[in-house]
Amino acid sequence: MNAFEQTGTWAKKLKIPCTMKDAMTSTNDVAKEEAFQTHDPLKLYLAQHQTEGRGRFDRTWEDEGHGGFLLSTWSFDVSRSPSPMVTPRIGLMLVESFSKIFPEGSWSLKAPNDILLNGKKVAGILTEVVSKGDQFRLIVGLGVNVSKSPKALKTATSLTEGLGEVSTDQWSLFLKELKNGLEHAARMSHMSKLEPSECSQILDWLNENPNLKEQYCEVNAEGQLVYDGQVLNWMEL
Amino acid sequence: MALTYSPKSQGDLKVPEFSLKDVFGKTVDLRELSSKKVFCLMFICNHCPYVKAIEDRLIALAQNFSNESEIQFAAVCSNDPSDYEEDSIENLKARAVEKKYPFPYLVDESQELARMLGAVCTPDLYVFDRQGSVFYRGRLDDSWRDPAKVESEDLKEALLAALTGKDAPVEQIPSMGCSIKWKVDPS
Repeated sequence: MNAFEQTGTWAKKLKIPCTMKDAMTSTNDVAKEEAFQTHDPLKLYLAQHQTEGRGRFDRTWEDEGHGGFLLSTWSFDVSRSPSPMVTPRIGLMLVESFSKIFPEGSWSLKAPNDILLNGKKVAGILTEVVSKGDQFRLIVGLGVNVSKSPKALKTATSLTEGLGEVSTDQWSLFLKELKNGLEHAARMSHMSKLEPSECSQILDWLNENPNLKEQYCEVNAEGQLVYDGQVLNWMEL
Repeated sequence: MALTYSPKSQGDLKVPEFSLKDVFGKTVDLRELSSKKVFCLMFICNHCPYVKAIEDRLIALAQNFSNESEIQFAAVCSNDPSDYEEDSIENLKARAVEKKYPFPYLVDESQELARMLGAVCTPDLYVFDRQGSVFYRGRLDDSWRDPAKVESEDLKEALLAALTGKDAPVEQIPSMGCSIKWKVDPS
């Protein structure tokens, strides 16, 4: 299954505006450049290869190949300035989407926004916001190791490695679930505090991480992680 | 709690030109939201046991149709929360977050939308066709209390008919539930 092609086909079927290119500098950069050329509620950017892919703090994202990765950006029109809490919310939506469609895997969330499959990184998110006057777009960069993973990273895995071959039907179901989740996160993106139900769900997914030396005690409404008397700010991790 | 049944759909009923806010404070224009789509509008609330009984089925229905580009779901609460704290905006928001509603949850604070559409109860379920005319108004299915005993998925069938250009179901069995909690007229 070629994740790039299948995702493009799915977007076309749903009439989601989609820019697909063999190579982009980074899907987030292109989405930001074009942010206010569109009023579409959702626009999708897909690349087979990123020449300047980035993670947080401008770390390089190595994609090492074609079609085995989902290199995507989901650009949402949001009416108000998104709060930093959108980042853990998106992580929650993503890990829940994976676990629902691929329940045989052992899924967890690693703050600030890695998704782990069987204790290894399988997906990463880079959330950004662009604004122009009173217009805002929420830019959600999402990379998923579908059938390949960066060879240099022993801590990475892919869906195929962890679960076996992913069928096109499973992939479509995952995209549907993901879209629902991201739209839900976008609708409440301006909310500056996490709801109690979100705090407990995020805490549970964080503590599923088998690599944790110590379990977190609490995720509070400000997105702070509490463990052993220490408090970590989500966005400073 | 008075058990209330939704009346029959009216042929000339249209998606109103009306804007209202969702539970997160975003203004939603109903015509814009439903433009050229089959539109399922669900009057619900937090407190009503009839809604609670079918809430997961409404969510699943919307999720199952989310790979269809030509359909839009929205829920709306028109209840006056004065005597029903569960239906306050804060609690509606908390519910939408907790249950991850895959549709906008709108707040009809003025109750104008409910009056325009003649909504009477929760759940009161409407389907509008692509032209914005009412196509179906009726129950979700034939077993509100027990999902295991559902044999007729009326709302789903109506949505499929609207999507595929078929005629509206001839028999539209009313939805039933708690009455909408109207504000007391100060006059």
